[in-house]
Amino acid sequence: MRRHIVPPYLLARIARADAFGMERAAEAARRSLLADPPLREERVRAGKATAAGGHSRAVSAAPVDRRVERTIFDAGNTEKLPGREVRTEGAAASGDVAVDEAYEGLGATHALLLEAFGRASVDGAGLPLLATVHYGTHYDNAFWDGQRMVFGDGDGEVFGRFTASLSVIGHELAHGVTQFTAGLAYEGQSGALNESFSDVMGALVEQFHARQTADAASWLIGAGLFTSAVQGRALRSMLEPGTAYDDDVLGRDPQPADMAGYVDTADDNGGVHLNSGIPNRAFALAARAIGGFAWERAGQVWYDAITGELSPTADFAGFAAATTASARARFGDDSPEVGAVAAAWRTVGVTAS
Amino acid sequence: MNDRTLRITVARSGGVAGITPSWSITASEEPEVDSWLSLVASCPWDAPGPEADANGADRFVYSIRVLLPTAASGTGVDDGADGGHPPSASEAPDAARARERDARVPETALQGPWRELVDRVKQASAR
Ligand SMILES: [Zn+2]
Repeated sequence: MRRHIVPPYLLARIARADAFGMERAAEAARRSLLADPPLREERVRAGKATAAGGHSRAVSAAPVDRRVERTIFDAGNTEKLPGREVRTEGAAASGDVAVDEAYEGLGATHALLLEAFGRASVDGAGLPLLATVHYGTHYDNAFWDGQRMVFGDGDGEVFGRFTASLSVIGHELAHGVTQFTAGLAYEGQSGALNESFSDVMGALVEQFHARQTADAASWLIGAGLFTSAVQGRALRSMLEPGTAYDDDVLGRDPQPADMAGYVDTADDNGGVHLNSGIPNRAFALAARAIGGFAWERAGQVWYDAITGELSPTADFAGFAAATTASARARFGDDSPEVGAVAAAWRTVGVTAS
Repeated sequence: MNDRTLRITVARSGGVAGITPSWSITASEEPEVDSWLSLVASCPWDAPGPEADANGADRFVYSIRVLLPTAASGTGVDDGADGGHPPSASEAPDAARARERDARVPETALQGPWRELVDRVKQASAR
């Protein structure tokens, strides 16, 4: 069995020290960490145990690493994961636009989690952030595989590369946050809530990065992914679901804006990317009614609900109740925040229960 | 569409974009029909549905539907007589038994003959 003279936590610290000019030591420490990864596994387990206990803020006695640690891999247009390591934390830009967009996007998402919500990475315990780019050939998607974000280059006709949108990068990482917290089942209404929370965080990453208020924000998810041949602004509009695109080839954006338009389907895990339009709009309406920076109040309320006592099979009504309760807990029973959240759910036709 | 026409439709849902493209082919010339049918027959229609990955999100899901020519019964394509009904595949009601098959295949299970079938339908429908 291999034994380390330097304890793993210290290796992890040295591995990230290259920002301070200790490049050689950092590289050596990183190699050593790669050869012996138990530290990472322990972090994952700690995150899961925390989530299962439902106390996301009460972390274990071990010190939480609040620094970002990113690693970007290149799948070389194959479907093999993770691919070849191409950029590690603190390394200079690679010159490959997808690699560097993924790196920057992970950093922006980590910054939102830490600075707006006091959360150290996806698991709340400093989990290293992993992404693979150039996945597959003409691959029209980005996904979360349970451990890492994966991005395709797009087909070049409808979609360009999927790293081009910061909201999509935030969306994928937020699936990790949900996995470590509420664990919303990816099916039907709980699946649509899982999707919607990823859109909420994706929008907030962009707004936080641009220091943009709720009024000034576009509330679009995935702007910039379509090629110029497509008649459309983005994949989705949180404020006006169903209006993001209307194209000869793609058809019209199928998202419903309220419960009257709820889509019953067996496709897409029960329409999780369709019905997410309903809670998406509730969030955008609440955030705009409250005003200011959306991450400060509406975002905090949604984050509190996801990291609180929410059931993994929560439906829209249950999530409306959870967000209203977290608005009360944080801002007081008669606060404008509570009024705005309750009114937003009413507008989209969801009655809290 | 006459009785000798084979039709295969592949519809994709899911993915972060939530866009649902579909591809389909028809074939009525015998060598072409046979070639498609042998590929169709090699797919694990009766295999148990693969476990969904509990922790993944935004993966594609493929719906694959085959409308068989009448004459195809007994050409090696399973006629559904074994009575097995796995959760991922289903058969048409009695009257149309063996004329229609469909299955829902998550991207993570799209390997081997499933992958070959989907890729071939996509390529052929693009032409
Ligand atoms: Zn998603």
